[in-house]
Order: sequence, then C-alpha cells, then structure tokens
Amino acid sequence: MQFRFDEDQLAMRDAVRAFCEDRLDLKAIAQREGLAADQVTWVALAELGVLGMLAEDGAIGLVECSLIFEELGAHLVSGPVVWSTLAARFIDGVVDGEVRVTGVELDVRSNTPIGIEHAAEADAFVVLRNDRLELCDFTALPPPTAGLGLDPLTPVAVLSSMPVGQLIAEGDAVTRLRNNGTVLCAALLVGVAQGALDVARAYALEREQFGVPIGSFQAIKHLLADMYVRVELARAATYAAAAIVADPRTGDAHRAAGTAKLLAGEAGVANGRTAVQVLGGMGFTWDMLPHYFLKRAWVLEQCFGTAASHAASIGSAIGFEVASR
Amino acid sequence: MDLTYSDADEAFRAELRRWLDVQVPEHGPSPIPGDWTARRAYDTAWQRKLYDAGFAGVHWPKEFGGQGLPVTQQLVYLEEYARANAPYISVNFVGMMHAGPTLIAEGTDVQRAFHLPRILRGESVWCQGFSEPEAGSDLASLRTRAVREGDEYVVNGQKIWSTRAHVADYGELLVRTDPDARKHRGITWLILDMHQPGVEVRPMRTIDGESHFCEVFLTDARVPVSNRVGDENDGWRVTNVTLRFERGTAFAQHIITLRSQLRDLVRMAQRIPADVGTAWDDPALRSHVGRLEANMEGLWRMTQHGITEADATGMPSPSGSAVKLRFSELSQELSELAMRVLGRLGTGGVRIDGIDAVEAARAYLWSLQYTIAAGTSQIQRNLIAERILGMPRST
Repeated sequence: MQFRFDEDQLAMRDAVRAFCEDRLDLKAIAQREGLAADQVTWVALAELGVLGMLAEDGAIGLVECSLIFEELGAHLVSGPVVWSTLAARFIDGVVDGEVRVTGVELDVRSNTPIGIEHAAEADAFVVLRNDRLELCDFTALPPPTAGLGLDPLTPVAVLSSMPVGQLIAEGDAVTRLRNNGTVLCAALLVGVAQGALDVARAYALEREQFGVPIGSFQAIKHLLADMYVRVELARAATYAAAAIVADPRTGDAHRAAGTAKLLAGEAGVANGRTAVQVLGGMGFTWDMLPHYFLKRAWVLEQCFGTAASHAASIGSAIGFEVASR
Repeated sequence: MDLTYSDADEAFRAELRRWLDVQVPEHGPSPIPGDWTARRAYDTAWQRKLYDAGFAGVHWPKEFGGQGLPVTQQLVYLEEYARANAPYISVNFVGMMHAGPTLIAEGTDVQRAFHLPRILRGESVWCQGFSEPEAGSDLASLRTRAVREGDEYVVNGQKIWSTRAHVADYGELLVRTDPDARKHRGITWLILDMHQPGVEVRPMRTIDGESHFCEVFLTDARVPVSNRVGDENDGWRVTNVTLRFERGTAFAQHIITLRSQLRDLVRMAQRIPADVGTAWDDPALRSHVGRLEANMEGLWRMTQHGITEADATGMPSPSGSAVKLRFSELSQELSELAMRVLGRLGTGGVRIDGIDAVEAARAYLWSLQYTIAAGTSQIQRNLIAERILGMPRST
C-alpha cells in the first residue's frame, strides 16, 4: 500500500499548475466571463496531454488525471474539459484540441428544458443515458436559447428537448466512463474548494480590523479550519476513488466514486459560501473571487450525481449489505 | 499510488485472523460496565495473550519488544482486530499508546528495561496525570509542584481526568519544577508509582453514570529522580512526543469502530417497526446514513494517506488534528442519529431482540467526550488555523 503520489506524478501536476498560473490567471478572471475557452489555451491544454489522458489505456490514467483536474478546478478552467476528456476515447480529434465535446447525463424520465454547459463552443455533443453513450446531432435540434447560467465562466445553452443520438458506446465502457466522469468532477470540486480556501486564507492574513489581521480572531480561524477539513476529506476520498476506478479490483468503483463526489460537492459549495463570509462585504461583491468559486461549485454539483443522490445510493447499499449478512 | 496490500500483508492478515477467530470467542464476554477490577483483569489477560502470540505492540520497534510491523500491516492489524470484534484496548491504552512510546523515545535504558516489558505483557497499567482543575486546554499552566530533595522530588497538587487511574499502577505525571520560568519551560515529566503513599485516587462520576475518569490528589508524594523522563524542565517537549502520537495513528481504530457502529444502527433501524415497514424505510434516514458512510470513508482514506506519508517522510502528518476533529463530530452525529431512530426505546432503556437501547444511549453520552478530550474541537480548529494555515496566534 502506497497512498501517495510518486515524483513523476507530482512533476506532472506541477507542470499543469504552472500552466494554469500562466494561462488561467485568477487576477484576470473577469476577462474570461461569458466566453468560451480561447482556442490557443485549449490547444495548449491539449498539447500538455491533459485532454488525452483517458483516451487509451496506458501508464497514465485516472489517478494522474484527477491530480491535474484538481489544479484545473482551483484555477476555474474554462471550456468543456470533463466531457472532452471522457469522450476522447470515442471521438477523433479531441486529443489534440481540434474537437471540443460537451455532454450531459440524462435520466430517461426527464423531458424538461435543460441547460447544457459549453454547448455553443462544442463541436460534438454526447448524451449519457443509463448504460448508453450517444452522439447527438446539434443541427437537428431547435436552436438553443442562450441560458443565463449561474456561473459567469460556464456559458450555458438551453435545449427544449433532447434528440435520440447515435450509439457510440455501451456496457462496461459506459460504466467506466460514468465512474471516470464522477471522479473527474470530484477532482475539479476539490480544486474549487481548495481555491476558495486559498482566497479566504489570503484575505484573512491581509485584512485588518480592530488593528489586527482578521485571521487572528478565533471566529475566522474556525471557519478556515472547517474549510481545510472539508477539502482534505474530499481530497483523500477523491484520490482513493481515482485509484479504485482505475483498478476496480481494489474496491467498489461505483461506491468510491460516489463517495468522492458527495464529499467534494459538499466541500465545494460549503467552501465557496464560507469564502464569501470570510471576505465579508467584499465577499458579496462581483469584484472579488469567492462568488466564482461558489458558482462553479454549484455547476459541478449538478454533474454526475448530486450529493443527495449519492447519499441515497450509498445509504441503500449499506442497507443491503447489512440485511444480507 | 497503490491501495492494494502486498502478499506479505495478506499472509499476516490470514495468520492474525486465524488466531483471532479462535481466541476472541474463547476470551469470553467483556465484564459489566462499572466493574473496574474485572475490567482490568479481563483487559490485561487479553494483552498477555496478544503478547504470547507475538501480536503485542505491532507499532513498537522490535528492539523494545514490539513487533515493528510496517505501517500497512499495522492497518491490517486494526482492520482484523475490528472485524473480529476483539476486546477494546481499554486499560492498556495509556501504556501501549502513550507511556510506552514516550519511554521508547525519551526514557533511560533502565526505565525502558523495567517498564516496557511489563506494559507489553499486560502486567502494569498506566494512567495519565496531565490535566488539572485549573489547567485544561491551557495544559502548560499546570501547577502541581515538585520540589527536589536529594534524590527525590516531593510532589504536591491535584490532577483530574486521569482515565482509569483507579486501576492503574503507574502514571505519566507532569509537574512544575521551575515556577519562575515561562510556563512551558518549567515543566518536568515523571513516572509516578500510583500505589505509593501520598497518592489518593477518587473516581469521578460522569454523565453516563460511570467512572472512567478520576481525580488524583498528590500530598508530599516522593518520586525518585531516576523516574524522571527527559531533563528537568524539559517535560513540555517530552509531552509533545506523546501528544503527537495521540493525534496520529491512534484514530485508525476509532474510525473502523465507527463504521461498524453505523452498521449496527442500520441493523437496528431494520428491526424497529414504523407506520409502514421499518424505520429503515425512511429515505431521509438512508440518505443520512449514506452521508455518514461517505464521511467515514473519507476519514479512513485521510488516515491511510497520513500514515503512508508519515512512513515515507519520517514526519507525522499535519492532518492529525483534522482527522480528530472530523472523527469526533461524526461520532456524535452518528450516536445522536441512533437516539433519534430509537425514539422512546432509547429514553426507555429497552432491550429487545437485536436492539440494545441501553448501550446506544451509553454510546451517545460517551460520544460527547470526543469533542472535549485530547484537545477540544475548538482547540483543534485553532491548531489547524495557526499551524497549517499560518494564521497569527491569538493571545
């Protein structure tokens, strides 16, 4: 047992971190509002190898990918990174950044208008229905109306109905895709939760009231400590889930992924909210960073199972486990 | 990143499991709560069996009589121990988890040679004499005074919250030897013989109606200088060796136990009739259980991560406070949920087929100490904010 990363993995993470600090600078975040990921950055991301990490089975896989998605989450990455990375296995041109893929998981029962993230910039659109992955034709749809999405960094289009697509994968491949997607969203959320903590921490050290930094007050310290606990808990669960989904012999992949997503979703939303609180009145303004983290957390919370749905599913599984013993 | 156990780990697991499967049932049921003499006999006899079978002190180095197992096998040990529902470490806790490791790190050869084998064999039971009525979270402000007279320290003062001191043979005693020094600098760590004159132990009754904790009154108690661990006035540093231990691997077993408690709760809910079906048919309860399970899984992974990280770097993981904090709160949330599921069964102290509401109520009340003992949750949050997140110290 080695629950830690090796030097190669950490070097890979550091390279992506440096890339993010350069290309996804949080200080210039307002310039990204309402926009698709710019093509230069998207191709650079592809050249770093990020979008192709799950395209084929090899030495690099979900564990490394999660470590890197955590960095992307902390820098509030633009563009459909999750679906492109997931679909790279099935659709040509994704790995080198020529084709962007967006998608949605769809419960068969839902037939209401639905907001699709990154639809306007996507070249391909996939739908995950139960154990089927379908490639859908945009052009056959009534034109989407631009959504007023919650997150200014995640453009949304609203589709009034969903087409039936062309089957591109099913069975085990789709089960794996779903678990991969769940873990990648968890990893992004861990990054979001960490990013919110970083912003709150920096502010608490700098902002003075009553002649001292507000970070010297226990009331603030305790908020920050809780943020730290949430993110560490979610991070450990996410790393474990990545390792288990990558090698399902080591555990229950579905359970591990759901656990990670639940904890990461709660950490993302709660840390976003707490960052607003630590920054006080400034945290309530558009000019400061907390709201971006909070809003991104809510977007990701809806993807690949909400905390509530994973809680229900894990709870029922424990019930069966106990009853059958 | 490798979450699998090696063949050697699995071989150890199989050997331990075979032994536990025979020995645990043979050792019989634990004594009734409150009978501390029986408790001591039961726990120390079990410790002796572990020792004879070569399973005592899995985390102690070999040169000091332990098994010196790699950390992964320590985890295997804890997993199997919990799986077999083997006797809780109980009266052996302070000796095995605190005093022993402290002597290994800081004791003299004579102290180690005398005490370590006795702890391992279950022949001596230890307690802790740290907290005082006026020194709780601010432990370093302790006032129990030790004055050197020749080859002895003469000790006067009062300790409190000494767990199981009424059945202990030795105590880890913190005393003030230099009242003029700054508070952290004037403290010395002594080995106290609990059976000597001048040591009076009074059990305290706590909210669960039991007496796990004691007050210890010290009146001209004489402690040989040879019982000092570390240098005079260097006791705070020695103490931190112990306290760090308390926040490290020690929670692994608690987390495993918590997960089995969660399953006990589900089992109970499946037997409690509701308007329709059983209490377990309530979707809100299932979701709550799911959330608790996810949190426990996260905590377990944090522990695994912290332990392998510490093993690789030789440094204790800084996340110990976070594990302690989250564990304590989860434990309370779980046992409070059990009280809610039990309803009037819980307040009524009912014991019916498969449901022990008396035990559940006891577990609930006991859980309230987790956020207080070994550093309150408020202190843990301060530690996280100051030591990990770098916030300025508050005065």
